Order: sequence, then structure tokens, then C-alpha cells
Amino acid sequence: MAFQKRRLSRVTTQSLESQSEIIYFDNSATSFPKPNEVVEVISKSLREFSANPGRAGHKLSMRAGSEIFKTRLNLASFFGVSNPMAVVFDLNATALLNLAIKGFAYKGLHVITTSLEHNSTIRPLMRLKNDGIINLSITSGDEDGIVGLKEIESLKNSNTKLLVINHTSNVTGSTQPIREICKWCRENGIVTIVDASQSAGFEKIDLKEDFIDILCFTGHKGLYSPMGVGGMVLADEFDLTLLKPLKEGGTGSLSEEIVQPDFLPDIFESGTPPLPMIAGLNEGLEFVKRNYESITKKKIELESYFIKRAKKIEGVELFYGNVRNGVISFRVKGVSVSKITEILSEDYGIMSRQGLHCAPLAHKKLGTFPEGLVRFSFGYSNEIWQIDKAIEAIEDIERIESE
Amino acid sequence: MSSYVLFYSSNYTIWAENTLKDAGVECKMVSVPREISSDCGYCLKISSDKKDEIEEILRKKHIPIEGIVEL
Repeated sequence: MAFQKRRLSRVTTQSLESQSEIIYFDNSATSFPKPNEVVEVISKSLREFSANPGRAGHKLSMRAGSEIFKTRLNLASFFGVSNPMAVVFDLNATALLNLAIKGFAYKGLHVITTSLEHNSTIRPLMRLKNDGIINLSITSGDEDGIVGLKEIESLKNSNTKLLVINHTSNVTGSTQPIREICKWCRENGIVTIVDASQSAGFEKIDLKEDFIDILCFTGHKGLYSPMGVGGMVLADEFDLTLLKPLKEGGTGSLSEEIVQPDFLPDIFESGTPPLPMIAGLNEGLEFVKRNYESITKKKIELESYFIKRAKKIEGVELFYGNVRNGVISFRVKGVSVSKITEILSEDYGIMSRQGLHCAPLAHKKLGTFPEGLVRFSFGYSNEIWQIDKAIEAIEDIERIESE
Repeated sequence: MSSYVLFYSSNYTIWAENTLKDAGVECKMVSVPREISSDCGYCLKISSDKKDEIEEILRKKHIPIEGIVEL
């Protein structure tokens, strides 16, 4: 087979060991590479001040604690809350979404969520539903899954006290009008949990102006931290008695008490925090603040350019949402998505993500379940020539594999 | 004379220290003296004559104080 020959020759001439030959289009899974400043501060923290923060009276512990405080303060200001203690850290968005959803739920609660949810919200919700604790309604939205107030209003009943909404889809990049939705919820006595895993660092989010009660985000995507830290931010007016902690343990505070402290952030932060990752998150956030305009402009340009070129390839079907933000999925007629990803990776050094993207609901909405799609998600370090190379690769795949 | 400002958590001690430093008020983060409390974190050591001023600054920032002890 001509194609096999061609593949073999490419494999032998192209080693992926050299990073310069890798084209990384999987930034929605995790951003890569991380900015140098992030790498440096992690290394510096491990070398110079990685003591246990808040747990001892010595200088190094205080320094470590101060680094965490600095990060809280920076995030509080970035997301529009005045209390730095209302920024709670945990492993990632999943951990914090579980906390927010399960910590809020009570018997008889009715929750509204959307068809664009990631498994990090729909699975905890389904657990609560199947355990007979909550009732759940899932919106359909428009063709992109975007939710209107009319639909929410039609699903609301007297027990509806919580709305869980994915801000930006990790499959198509479709982005919900959260300000409009959360404002309506606030006026109607419904608490909102916004999953900003994909949007934080790209969309401007301000809890006050956007009427959000609980925002959950991860550090390792649009905020350029390493994996291992995410955050939950609570609105200044949020009633803390509505949220129970999921884990309890050592906080370094009120050590004489055998019950968990009831104040922020200690109520939700038991166990030793990942100081180097949190310091990395602070630097990642600084990187975003310094380069916000250029990062967003680039993501928009790259996606728009990819759409323009890919549209011309016969047999390629594109799935992109209501906004350009660097996230786009596609499939090629006659070729499985796993095959496409494999060829892109092995023969062209292009890293993409295939399948359902942990979002079966979104793929059902798009009509691409269970086969899924191939996703490209662009980042600040990608260039136009890489898109050109990807287009060439997809043209090759379409021509050779679909025969 | 020195006083020790105690907080419910070291998170608040650090917040208070940052706030006071921003306001130009001298303070030092130290281990909580055992004779005051069994807490395993830190507190702020201040000059006793600054007590009222410090309380006012922290109150305005909504930083809760557990207590102030003169030693």
C-alpha cells in the first residue's frame, strides 16, 4: 500500500523525541508548554521555601503561607470578589465541582443543568439523582446547546434551588451567556455553580458583575499552572451555611477542636496543600494578565484560520460553537477518529484528542455519539504554519485513508 | 510592651500581616506563644500602643480577630 510506505518513511525520518517537532493542539486537555516563569517558580519553591504552610511557627512555613495568600489575593481580584479567603484550593476543577454540587445538595432539591456538561458535573449530579436525593432537569438549548432563559423558566419548579452550568464546552468551545442566566437565577432564588474549566483565562469572569455564586476552575488549562491545583471562588454575598465540606481533617487552625472549623477557607481545605503548584498558579495567572490580549487574539485567529482552510477539504465535517476561542472538533468521512489522531501523532507530530472528551452529553447533542470527534485546541505557543501543516495532514488522511 | 494578636487560622494571620504592612503599621509574624494558646499556627506580635489602630484597620477589612493578649 502506498500509504503504508509513506507512513513508514515519515516515521523513520521524524523523531518525536525532539520537542521542536511536536505540534501541540491539546490545550483544552492541559495547556502545554507552560510559561518559563511558571517552571521557574515551582523549581524555586522546591529549592527555597517549600515548607508546610500554616502548620508551624517557623519562618519558612510563614513564607510558604504567604505565597498561598498572594495567590488567593490575586485570584480574588481576577475573579471579582473582595474576600481572598473565599478562594478555596483543591486538586482540580473536578474536586471542587464535587464539593460544590454534593456539598450543596439536599433531599428533594431540584437541579437544572445543561446538555454541554462535562462528566465532572454530570456524574456527581447523576449520583445524587440515582441515590434519590435530587431531581434533575437537563436543558436542550439551541443547536449549539446554548441555553435561553425561557427554557430555564419552563423547567423551574418550587424546589429548583440550584443551576449547574458549564461556561464553555470542551468539545466545540460553545460559550453560555452566563451573566444573563446567573442574573435571572439570582433574582429567582437559584444558586449558580459555574464550571469555568475551559473558560478561565479566556473569557472575562467577574463573580459580582456576572451574578455567579460559585465558580470552579482548574489551574492547568487556561491559567497555565501545572496539574494539581484548582480553585473554587465564592461570591461575597454567598451564605456559607449552604455548603458542607466533603473532606475534613487537619487545617493548622483551632487544633484543640475535634470538629472542622466553620470559616473560609479552612472549612474546605484539609490536609497539606500543594504549595509549588499554587505558586505556579500565581505565576500562570500573572502570565495571563500580562498577555491576555495577545493570547485571546491568537486563539481566535488560529481557530478562524483553521475553519477557513478546513472547510475547503471535502469529507471534513467541522463542529465549532457560537464563539471563536481556539477549540474546534472535526471528523473525516470514512476514517475513524482514533485512526486520525493516531496518524496525526505518529506521522505528523500533531497532538490532538479524539473520542468523547469526557462529555457524552455534548456529543449526543451534536449527534456524534458514540464515535466522537477529533479535537484541536490551540494555545499561545501555536503558529499559523502549524495549522498549515495540520491542513496538509488532514488532506492526506482524507485522500489516502478514505479510499 | 508587646501584644500578640491571635487569629482563628494562619490564613487570617497572613492576611492581617499583609494588610497592616500595606497600611504602614509595623508587626511581626511569630509562632503562637504556648502560654497564650495551644494553636499550632502563627500570630502577630505588635507594639501594645498600636493596639487600637490595628484593631480598627483589621475591622475595616473584615478580618476577624480571636483575641489580643499582652505579655
